[in-house]
Amino acid sequence: MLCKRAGFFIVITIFSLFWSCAEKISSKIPFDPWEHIPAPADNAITEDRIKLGKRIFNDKALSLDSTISCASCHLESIAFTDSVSIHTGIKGRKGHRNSPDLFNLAFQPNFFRDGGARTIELQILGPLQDSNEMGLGMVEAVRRLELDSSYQEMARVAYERPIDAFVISRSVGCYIRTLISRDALYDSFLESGDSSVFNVDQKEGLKLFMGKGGCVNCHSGVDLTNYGFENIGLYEEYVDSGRARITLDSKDDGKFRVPSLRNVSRTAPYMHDGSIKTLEKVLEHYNIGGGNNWNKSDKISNLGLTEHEMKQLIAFLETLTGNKLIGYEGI
Amino acid sequence: MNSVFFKLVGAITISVLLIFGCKPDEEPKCKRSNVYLNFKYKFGDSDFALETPYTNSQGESIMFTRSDVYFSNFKAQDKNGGGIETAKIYHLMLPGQTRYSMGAIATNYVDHCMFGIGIDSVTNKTVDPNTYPLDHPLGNKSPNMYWGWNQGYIFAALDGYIDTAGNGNHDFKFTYHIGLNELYRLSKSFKVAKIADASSNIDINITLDYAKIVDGVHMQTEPSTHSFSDFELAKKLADNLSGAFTVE
Ligand code: HEC
Ligand code: HEC
Repeated sequence: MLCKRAGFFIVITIFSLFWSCAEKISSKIPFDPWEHIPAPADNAITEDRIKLGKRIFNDKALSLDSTISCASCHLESIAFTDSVSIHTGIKGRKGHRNSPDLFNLAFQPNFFRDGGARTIELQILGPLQDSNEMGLGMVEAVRRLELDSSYQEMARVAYERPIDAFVISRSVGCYIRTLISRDALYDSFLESGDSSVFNVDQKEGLKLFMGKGGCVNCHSGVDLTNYGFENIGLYEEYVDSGRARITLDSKDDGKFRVPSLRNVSRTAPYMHDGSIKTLEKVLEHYNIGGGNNWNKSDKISNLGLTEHEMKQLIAFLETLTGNKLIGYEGI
Repeated sequence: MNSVFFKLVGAITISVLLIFGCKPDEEPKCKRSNVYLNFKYKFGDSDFALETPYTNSQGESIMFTRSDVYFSNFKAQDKNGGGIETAKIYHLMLPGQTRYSMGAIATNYVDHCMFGIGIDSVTNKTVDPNTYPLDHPLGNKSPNMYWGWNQGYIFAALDGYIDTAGNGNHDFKFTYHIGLNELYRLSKSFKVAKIADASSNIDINITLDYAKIVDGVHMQTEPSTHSFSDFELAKKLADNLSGAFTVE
């Protein structure tokens, strides 16, 4: 927090130093809203790329039987999640896990709940290929979109090349990178450092989050995740071994990524399998120290929160809900 | 006038170098040749093809419907066991194709050679198939040669059917998908002793025996692996596969 404020102070100082000359040239430099979003060298963020990515994200042609798009499981209106435990993909086939939200992924080091994908650009192959989700594969996706001259035109404008696997993966990646949620009440608090933006319950909830609840041991930082993988004792035996599927190491059994809690009031049901339906039930789980599991994190233990305290914690969690997407609005 | 003169001198110099610069075998360093691997696909003593029944070591009739195998990192050695510089080339081996270019090398003689089966861990960890055209070996393939969830290349995809009832119906599916860095394998170092032919080509003849790949595998009780889901079976198959190549 101190660091953030110090940084802010330095920025202001430097900015005011250059104010006089900046005034003269500012009209020539277009404002770049994407500047603060990290992006790989081969996929700098531009409006044309976002537009193309958004179109592909919403295009049902990306599924084998043209019945679902990425947006079928990642609905913008509910923080790019869906409202079911496990979504049904093509031909009524059940997927494997609960659809996570897609906010602020530009800051996440790896993707999927087990970290199985290295980059946002690679991640697309997961849903695209999976026979329980879209079942199409990149080769066929390219063949389909190639036939559409308007896609060809957008690809040429955005990437100066015909539509291909590069353009599809990059443009969708570019669009996802700009899904930023940074306008929650919590952000006003982060920016000002002033907890008076919160009402009493929210403030007490924040204290519990940081203290008695121990939530911050895993849900830390601006996006309320340390991006680690943890076993929180949901099951005595996990059907889905989570991170261990990637590392093949039994020490990772039942570990899943600590999810961001941004917009969490909108992303029910919860957990990797959508097995917990409400925030109240999530807190009950934590309050009793989770269930038994040989590999449960030692950061999960009996909390002894009262009913009232749990309500206050939820009041704080609700301050993490943003009002709109920052950035790509209007595109 | 000047430029014509220089072109002429240049052309003469090159011709002289070409004619007198290199005596075959004595100074192989200045020769360049193109190396090719020629695969012969067998199942035991029979020629191998997809959609054709063969009898495995358990006495079952089996039929492959898919065989996609990556091989890469061809390495050649000279007479003294020294490495010969070769290009980093990846190939997807399909039973319909027999000849694969390994690029040019700066000699006309290969004494020993070896290659990797699969994709080395460096490439597997850093490469994004989306950055390659579809017709490039490392690009996206249909069916996939890259795992979408637990991401990385599938080194070998061997699928097919077993005739479990012995009635001529191959209706029991087997799916052997080998990947993961731990299962990248090197072939044996093969004695080749090949000199380039008149067209500066060195063709190395290699046999891949599919019977050896599934040797000792109880295909009916072990019909499937995706490596991360049944690692031990995948390991056995990866070891079998790397031992299934021989050089004539
Ligand atoms: C059938 C439902 C479904 C469809 C269709 C779908 N997704 Fe997902 N998405 C999921 C699920 C479930 C996960 C979590 C997978 C996991 O963790 O193993 C996920 C994870 C993701 C993630 C990683 C999020 C994170 O926090 O790591 C991204 C990014 C993503 N999807 C983007 C897309 C894109 C782009 C498409 C279209 C090409 C798409 N999804 C189509 C269900 C779906
Ligand atoms: C040991 C680390 C750890 C601690 C401590 C912890 N969490 Fe979590 N939390 C996780 C992990 C990991 C998951 C995802 C588990 C899964 O998907 O199976 C999770 C999931 C959640 C979810 C569901 C989010 C979603 O989108 O599905 C909520 C809400 C949540 N935690 C809130 C809290 C609160 C409130 C506290 C404090 C009382 C807390 N957590 C303490 C690691 C932790």
